[in-house]
Amino acid sequence: MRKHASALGSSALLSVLAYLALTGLQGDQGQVALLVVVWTIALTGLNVILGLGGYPSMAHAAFFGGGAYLSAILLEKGLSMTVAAVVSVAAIMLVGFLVALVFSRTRGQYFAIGTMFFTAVAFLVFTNAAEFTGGPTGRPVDLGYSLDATVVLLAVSVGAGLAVFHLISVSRFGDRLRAIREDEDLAQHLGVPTARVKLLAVVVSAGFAAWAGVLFGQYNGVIAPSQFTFVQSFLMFVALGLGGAGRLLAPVVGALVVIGLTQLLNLGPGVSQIVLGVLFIAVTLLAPNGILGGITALTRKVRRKEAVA
Amino acid sequence: MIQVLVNGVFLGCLFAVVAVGLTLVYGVMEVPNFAHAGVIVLAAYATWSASAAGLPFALAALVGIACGAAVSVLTEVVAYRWIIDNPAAAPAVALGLMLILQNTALRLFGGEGRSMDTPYDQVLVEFGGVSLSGVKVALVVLAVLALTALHLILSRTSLGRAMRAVAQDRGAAAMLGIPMRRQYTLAFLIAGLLAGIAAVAYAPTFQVSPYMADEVLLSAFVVVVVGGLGSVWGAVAGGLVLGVVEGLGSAYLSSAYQSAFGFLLLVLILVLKPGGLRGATGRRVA
Repeated sequence: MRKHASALGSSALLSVLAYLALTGLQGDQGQVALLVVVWTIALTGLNVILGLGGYPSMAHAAFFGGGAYLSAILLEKGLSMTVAAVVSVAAIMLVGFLVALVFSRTRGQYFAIGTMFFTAVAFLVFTNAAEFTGGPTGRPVDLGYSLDATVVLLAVSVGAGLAVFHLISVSRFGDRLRAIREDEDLAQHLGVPTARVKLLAVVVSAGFAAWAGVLFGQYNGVIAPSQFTFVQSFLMFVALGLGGAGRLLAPVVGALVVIGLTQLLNLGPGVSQIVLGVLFIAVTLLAPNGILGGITALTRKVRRKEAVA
Repeated sequence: MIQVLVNGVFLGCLFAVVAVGLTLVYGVMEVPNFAHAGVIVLAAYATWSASAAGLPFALAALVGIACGAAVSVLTEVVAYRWIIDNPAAAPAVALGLMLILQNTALRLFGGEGRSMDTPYDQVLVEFGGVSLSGVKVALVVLAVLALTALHLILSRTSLGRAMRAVAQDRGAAAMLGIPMRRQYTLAFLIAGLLAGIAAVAYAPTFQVSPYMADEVLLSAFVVVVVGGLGSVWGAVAGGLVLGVVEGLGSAYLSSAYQSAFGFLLLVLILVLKPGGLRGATGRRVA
């Protein structure tokens, strides 16, 4: 019970923090706050398939962009915002289902390559289907909800998303995903319906990403293909790995580190990504469970020393 | 029609050279080397800088190829060497290296594309009603030469035998006294040389920019998946098939979606081989 309380409590606390950051920060800092919040929502979805299931999905930026573009197009066609949002998220989850149907046959590195290619193709569509997407320069997004409502939705989604992730993580679904991550053949042998579990995990992650995309479009007002390249998928993968894939708060830590490094520190073009690459390799080599995993291991060590002394 | 096929073969040779570099490294070390794109970019910039500094093109090309080999070996010595016992970390390290290499190029040379001039820019080879620019002919010739040389090394020399042994079974190879470290470095050296050749050969048809290798790398990865990770001849055959498919698609359907046709091929293969591609990972290098 205490485990539930601390997880759900920290989710609610992060919602409040997100709201304060979004309303309190202006200008560039406000933009950074928005990106951190949106990434947290999207990465929470990635944490299901990558963190719990161990499948390196590189399709996340495509789902994210798909949600943003689709909701903008539907909104323009005269649908109400709520309908547009629901239809977009459902449609992207369907796309996720199809992607998973093809690529969940592959494992590990094959899966990463296949989903990465999917993101590259989605980018081609965003760039070339100009009558819908506005082409390479992007398109404006009509205001569906008032800005205040969007901010509240963003903040609530952070907490709600993390809470959903926690419930998934402690459910049988979560256990099955972890079993697949540890040893897929063994899991299948023991009766885990691996194909179905993986499919569901990709669909859930696509839903999170699409919803994050819808909110991003609403708050940002413009969307462009360059925001949804497969490099963005890389960066999402990097962010979750840095935070500590599979852990509840990994999306928050990862988003803060990656967005903070690329947006806040003004190091000139490219340098922040070089730093990110070095940091990522260092964390992978020194703390394979990410920053959060490293902190946990460190505190455990310190406590053990105290107990000995 | 023949013209389209020839263009497809050109693309296929490019994919094959890049894919063989990827598959060699995968064969001996089980690393999906995303950083290969960064190696190609840096090799292309090295060639461009050397030729801008006044070196004749042939020398500049050698500088580029040497630079590719050096950078590739550097990635092995600095990063990949430390994760041999932890293959799960390989994709993460590869992604990190790719970020570092590409952005180093961005930092040093800026984001705008630069065109690379060659002495054979203006040459147009006509053969039986098919015309092909000198740049493309040079690429096909270089690719065939490089892959033939690689084949001879792998099949005829003791070095190649050792490398094939490592690819088949690392444990057994180590037990038989093959120096493993040297094999790893060697695989990256060959991959780097191939990356350099690819860069020199195709940079003149595109532009030199930090992102020039992204799409080629994606296609090359598809080739590797289609041909089977770790199989050199699979990579060559897969490269030609993918090149022709993308060439046909871009000529008859839409050139903007060229790499999407490669994606369709990948999807098709995965759907038609419902057992997945496990059968293709019988780890072999030649």
